[in-house]
Amino acid sequence: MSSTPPEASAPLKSVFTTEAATTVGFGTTKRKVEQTVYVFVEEQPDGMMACRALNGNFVPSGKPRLVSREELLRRFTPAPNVYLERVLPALRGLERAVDEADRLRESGQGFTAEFEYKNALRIDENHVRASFGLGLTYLERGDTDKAVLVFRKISRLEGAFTPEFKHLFNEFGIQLRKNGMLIQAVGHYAKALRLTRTDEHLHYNLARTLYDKGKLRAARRILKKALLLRPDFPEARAFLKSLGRHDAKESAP
Amino acid sequence: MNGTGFFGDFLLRQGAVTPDQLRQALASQARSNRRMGDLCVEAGVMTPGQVEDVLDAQRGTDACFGQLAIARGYLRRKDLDALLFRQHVNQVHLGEALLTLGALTERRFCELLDLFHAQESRRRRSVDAALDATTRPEAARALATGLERGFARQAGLCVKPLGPLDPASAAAMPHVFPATAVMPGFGRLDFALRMGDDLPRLLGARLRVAGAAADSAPGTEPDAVRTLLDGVCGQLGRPIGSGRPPRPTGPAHPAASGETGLLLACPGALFGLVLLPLTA
Repeated sequence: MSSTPPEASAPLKSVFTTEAATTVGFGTTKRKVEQTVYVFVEEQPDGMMACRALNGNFVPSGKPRLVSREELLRRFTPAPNVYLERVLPALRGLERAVDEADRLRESGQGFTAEFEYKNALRIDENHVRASFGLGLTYLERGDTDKAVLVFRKISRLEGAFTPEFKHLFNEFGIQLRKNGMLIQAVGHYAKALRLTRTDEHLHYNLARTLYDKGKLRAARRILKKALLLRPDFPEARAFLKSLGRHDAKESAP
Repeated sequence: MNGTGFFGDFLLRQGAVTPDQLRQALASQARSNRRMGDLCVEAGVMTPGQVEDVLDAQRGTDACFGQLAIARGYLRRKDLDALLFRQHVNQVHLGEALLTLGALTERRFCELLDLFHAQESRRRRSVDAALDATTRPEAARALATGLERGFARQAGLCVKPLGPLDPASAAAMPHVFPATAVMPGFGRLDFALRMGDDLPRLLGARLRVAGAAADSAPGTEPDAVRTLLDGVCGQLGRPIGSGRPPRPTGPAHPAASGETGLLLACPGALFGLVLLPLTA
């Protein structure tokens, strides 16, 4: 009789807890206190455990720290009830709020969308989709002062430039350019390109921004890169051609 | 006179909210809207002593808290950006507070907001007309902006210009605080603030709370106004002569003595900015 292979178990996803000593206060009020720390743990494909601290709203936040399964079990105590009763509802509520905010923004209800995005960001201030959404809301309304605040946040947001958010960071860059925030737009695309080098649309949009800044040579160089990535990219080809015509006009006696 | 130009006052005048609802909403705003210094201490990136040092410096210069904290090496740009975002996201606007309280529906709020924006356009036109009527409109504009910033930075009070200072309003403001600012590009500008009884008292309390006149006893409100004026003049350029004692009464109407005036509002009080004619 042949033995059946063991069934692959689902990757671990739960909450663990530990006690940690933290320093609070300054000067004469400085003291050490014991705190219960909750971490959200997700097993990675390579078997390592990505641990992220839970914020006050029971939402995972900050950079993940990788530990082995053995270290996790040695240092932390499982708290599955916290995951089921606090984390899951918080995450679902958060996603619902951002979905609603996206819907409101797309239907032109900018002010209500702003409230909803802010509500989501009060729960998780590092929420990528909500940050982009809030920034786009401001840019669509031409509120560049507030958009700068969001731009600075996004430029330091872990995971904002991953392929998952490709559509959003492209859209955000386009809106920065349309609002005349050319320095920010170039910075935004440059950061996105460092992390996603093979996106021809990013190259194209960066070229348009450079063109608006009057940097024609740089725009041409970036357009050529976009065409190397996708030779049948009609917009990039037409743009490069128009830059050529522009050059011919410039050099005409 | 058409209200104070603030949204809460506008809602009351429209009968859209009750005074009690407005009080609750303002209290909710006060709980949520935190100052940058508090956020820095809470995040553990600055000590309370460093915050005090920056606040002291801010009273003498026209710069944001974050700029000064970075210049002193207390704060990194990265932390400031994160905290500015946190402050912004958690900032509750009056409309949002009223919606959360259930005092207004979203639809009604949007209608009122449109009406308020129309009123604001009229106010801006009226302010422009009042400033254009002065002999030096650009200098007057810079002065009015400097006052707005000075009141906000030093006393935490929001100030809005409303329009020309009419005789009836001027008559209700017996306290006159003269000052002179020397502004780069504009030169010397003599002006005075005219106030009723409430604003000096309010400023006295505010500036004592802020620590600018921590040892002052009650009854020294004019000192608070002069401290604030010194700060404003200093931020605009070289301050001279703002320490003169206040005159108990002023001319019944600024125009009567060749002065032009601007009516300003801050929550709870109206006051006047009187631009004095150029002297030889």
